[in-house]
Amino acid sequence: MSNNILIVYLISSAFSTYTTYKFMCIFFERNEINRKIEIVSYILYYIFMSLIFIIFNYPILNLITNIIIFFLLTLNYPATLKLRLTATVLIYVILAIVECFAVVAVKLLKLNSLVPHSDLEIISILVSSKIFSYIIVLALANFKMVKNSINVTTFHWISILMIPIGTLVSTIMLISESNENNLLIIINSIIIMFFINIFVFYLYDQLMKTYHDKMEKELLQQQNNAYSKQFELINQSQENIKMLRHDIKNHMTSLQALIKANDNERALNYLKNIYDHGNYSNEYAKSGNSEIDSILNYKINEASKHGIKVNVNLNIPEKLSIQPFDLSVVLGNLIDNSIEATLKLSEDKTINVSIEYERNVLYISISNPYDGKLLYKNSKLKTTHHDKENHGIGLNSVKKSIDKYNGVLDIHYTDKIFYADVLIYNNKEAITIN
Amino acid sequence: MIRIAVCDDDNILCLQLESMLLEISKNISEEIEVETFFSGEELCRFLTEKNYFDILFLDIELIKLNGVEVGKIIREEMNNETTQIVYISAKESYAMDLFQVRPLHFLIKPIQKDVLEEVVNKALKLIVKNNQYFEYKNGITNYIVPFKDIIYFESDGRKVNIILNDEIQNFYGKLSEVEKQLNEQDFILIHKSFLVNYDHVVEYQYEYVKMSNNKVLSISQNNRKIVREKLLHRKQRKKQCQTIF
Repeated sequence: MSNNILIVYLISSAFSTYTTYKFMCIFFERNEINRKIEIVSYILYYIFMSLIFIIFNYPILNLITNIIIFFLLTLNYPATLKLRLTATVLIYVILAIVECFAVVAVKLLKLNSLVPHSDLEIISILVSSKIFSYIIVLALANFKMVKNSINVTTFHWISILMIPIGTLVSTIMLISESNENNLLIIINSIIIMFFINIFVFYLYDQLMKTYHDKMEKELLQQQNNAYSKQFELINQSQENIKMLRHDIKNHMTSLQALIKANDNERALNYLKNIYDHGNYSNEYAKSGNSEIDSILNYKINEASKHGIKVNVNLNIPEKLSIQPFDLSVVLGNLIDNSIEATLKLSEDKTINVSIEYERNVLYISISNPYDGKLLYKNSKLKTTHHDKENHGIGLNSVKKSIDKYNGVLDIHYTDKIFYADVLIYNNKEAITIN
Repeated sequence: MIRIAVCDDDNILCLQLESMLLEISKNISEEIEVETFFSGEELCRFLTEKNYFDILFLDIELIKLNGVEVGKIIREEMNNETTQIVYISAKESYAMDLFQVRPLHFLIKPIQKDVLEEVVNKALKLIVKNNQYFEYKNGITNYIVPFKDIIYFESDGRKVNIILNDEIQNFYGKLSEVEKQLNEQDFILIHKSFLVNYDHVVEYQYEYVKMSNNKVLSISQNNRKIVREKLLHRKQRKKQCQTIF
């Protein structure tokens, strides 16, 4: 191998390491990762691949190590195994096809016959393939939905994955059969397969979007239910007040009699009854913030069906800038989790919900007793919901909603009580990440 | 001596609250003095005559000058961030305006004694803290500044500026040493050159804070998450110390 080629190889593969990084950025969330480890891992990847190339330069070995290292690189980011595999295969196939395309195209142009120096061919393959893959990564960066770590059904996932894998195998077979006569056919086939794969990428994006929309729909449905329940509650309390007004004359007469008779204790008792009746219950949220009240009352109602008591403490303004949708996601999911945990207990079924607003910050604190058993996965707390597929709307979406406002979720626990504390800045509008 | 004001147009409630407060005062070491006012105007007039209260129980639905307006006068016109305002109301829903007055708490009529006692205790802790002093040396002279008057510390070369409401004092020193001297719950380092008083921040954002003197200070990239954690921990600690709220 000449020095020229080596130098061009080293420079161009540094560039392609960057392209790989860009590809990973399309698939994975980079908010909560260790940037230093990430950088080191890419440098190691670069050094390792260069060594393999220089020492062995054997295509199949290159292929296998590349795929393995791609997969290892995905471990930098928090994601599901499905997403990791999808990302590895899609990234590898797109990069590989581009390279094959460059090889065949350069052969077709017969550059070597133009210039007697034979390095030109390899150099132009290296340079053109790297630039082309960078252009592709820029174009693909527009697909934002792939990042969502939504749980796709395995069947959908396999269907999506089969296409790039098939393409890879066919491309390798085509290239190995290439000769002077069929170059044009091969190049056309590769182009067609390349576009098919780009469309798969697009379909994957759309699939994620559909899943996401479905989840959102479910949440909206829940919110609607909450609102109608709230409406019912308001009506009920209005009825109570109407009745009280109607009865006021009778009450006055009774009170008058009691006071005349100097029976203070009974008079006070009587007043207390009226007061309690007018308020009709202390167990409902009535902060005047209709978004928070409705979701809380809906959940309180659900909890009471299971014999769980919910204590609420609200110190919040009637109107917040935080989107009702996000409040609903955060409160709904956290209270659902609390209810689920409390259900397993036989006594002391009480959930405490406290929401306070202070100096432009909303603090939410939810605590419940639990049996001391927690489910962990990848050092991340898992909800103990039974149907995990449907509950993609769990802690993950709570975090996502909180992130929009640069807020933070803090989960901590003793062996008896579980706490979820949230801080959200009451911003005018959610700051869009990405 | 803790000076408390009660301001409500319902004089029965004023008397009731006053007697409850005096009863509560038996349980605490500090002596309590309670003054009652039946209108916002009366209270404001009294306050402009250089009178100070540690705690103010203020009715939201006062007739002419309402509770929000009185609160705004105290915070904005009188630049008083340290009187602990506790709003009293028959309603349980509060407008955003009320929160801009940065009240300590809301009490719902009829007032329950145990809740009131918790509020008074919570206020006392803050008052004790606010009456402590920051000490510094310039040359051979010792100076003291009450914590409650310090809006923030600013590092300025080899000096540290103390930003107060109407003046700036300074001394030779390092901000990091000042930070060590103070309780980290009450003063937050938002930037390598700004150490702010929690009580003088009127608005917290992820990227910046707005101070009571209307100055906006940005939180440095490195400190944003730390500041956020501190705010949450502060709240959590408060929660552990209390039972009713």
